[in-house]
Amino acid sequence: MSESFNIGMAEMRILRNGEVGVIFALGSCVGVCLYDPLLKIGAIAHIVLPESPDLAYEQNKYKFADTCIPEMVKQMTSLGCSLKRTWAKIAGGAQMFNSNLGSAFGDIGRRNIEAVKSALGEYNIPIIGEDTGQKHGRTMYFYSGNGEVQVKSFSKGCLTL
Amino acid sequence: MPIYNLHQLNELQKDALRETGNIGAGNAATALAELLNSHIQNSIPQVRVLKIQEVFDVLGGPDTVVVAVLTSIAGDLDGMAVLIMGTEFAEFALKAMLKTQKASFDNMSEIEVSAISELGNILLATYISAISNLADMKIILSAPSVGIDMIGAIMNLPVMIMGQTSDDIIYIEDNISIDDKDMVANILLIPSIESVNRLLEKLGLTQ
Repeated sequence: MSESFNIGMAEMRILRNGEVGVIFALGSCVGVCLYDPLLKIGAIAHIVLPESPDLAYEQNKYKFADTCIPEMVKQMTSLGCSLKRTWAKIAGGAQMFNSNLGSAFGDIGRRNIEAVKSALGEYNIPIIGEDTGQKHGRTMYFYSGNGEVQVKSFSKGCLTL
Repeated sequence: MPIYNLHQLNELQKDALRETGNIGAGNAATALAELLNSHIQNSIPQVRVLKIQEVFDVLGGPDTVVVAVLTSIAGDLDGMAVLIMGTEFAEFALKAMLKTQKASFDNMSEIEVSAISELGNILLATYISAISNLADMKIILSAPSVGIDMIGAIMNLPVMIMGQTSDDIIYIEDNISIDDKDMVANILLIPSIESVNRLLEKLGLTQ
């Protein structure tokens, strides 16, 4: 059995040698998996918000789509991965509640997905598998041995991307 | 002097927040006992300052399925108040409120969602109004939202809202159980750091 790692909110991890990354219970957060199929190196991130605010102090860059994806790309390329080979699979970005909790957050899931897609677009990384939106939470498994991604949910069962 | 980092809270201040949660939960438990006509117990609340990554570990694991009612609070105290019920607790409450024999969560009817929403509304409003009286603060509660899913997925949103400008959040957690049975619900109060300061000032506990 390969080692498996739990990726919490605003965490990112490089996976290799068949390691498995797990993100439990994605709601409006987005799980992003990048993979270089030749080197069998992957990166998995649990992104919480679309854009990093302009603050005086430094925040965890893995929390935001616009700062996390460049960092994932940087770490993968530093290990020899080629962006020409790298693809992405994404899951999450659900709308867990109706939007009377404040309009800015009602559609945060959708905004997270848009921000992730636009950040991946900057590097021309194709999204070859996606299970996003809707109203249910998801648990995501990323197998760096073969690049397979499984998405499980309480209401919809298991899906392979 | 106001705190600007949650790790600056001292033990006395944490005790005061714990007691605030206790008074809120005590009132909520009384309301629940009347509503369900059952014996309700509440334990000593916990006050926790956590990294946002750690939030789910203390709530029984991120993929535990729960029934949750969320409200956002505004006014002198802003943040979120959340009722999280284990499925057995929610089932018991539904049966007691709707006088039915069965209740299921994978496909809830409109009336069941509405009953859960009302239950959450009563508990959270009682909880908040007790704190409002204690600290002489004006607090406004939003309409409740119901979610049934893995706890991690449910808690994404409050953690997102409260963790926007900080990597830590504070919450005050109260456990409520019915009839000595293993049916538990939690009320979480997740205030902003500004409101923690306002609350401590009202309680005369600023450093």
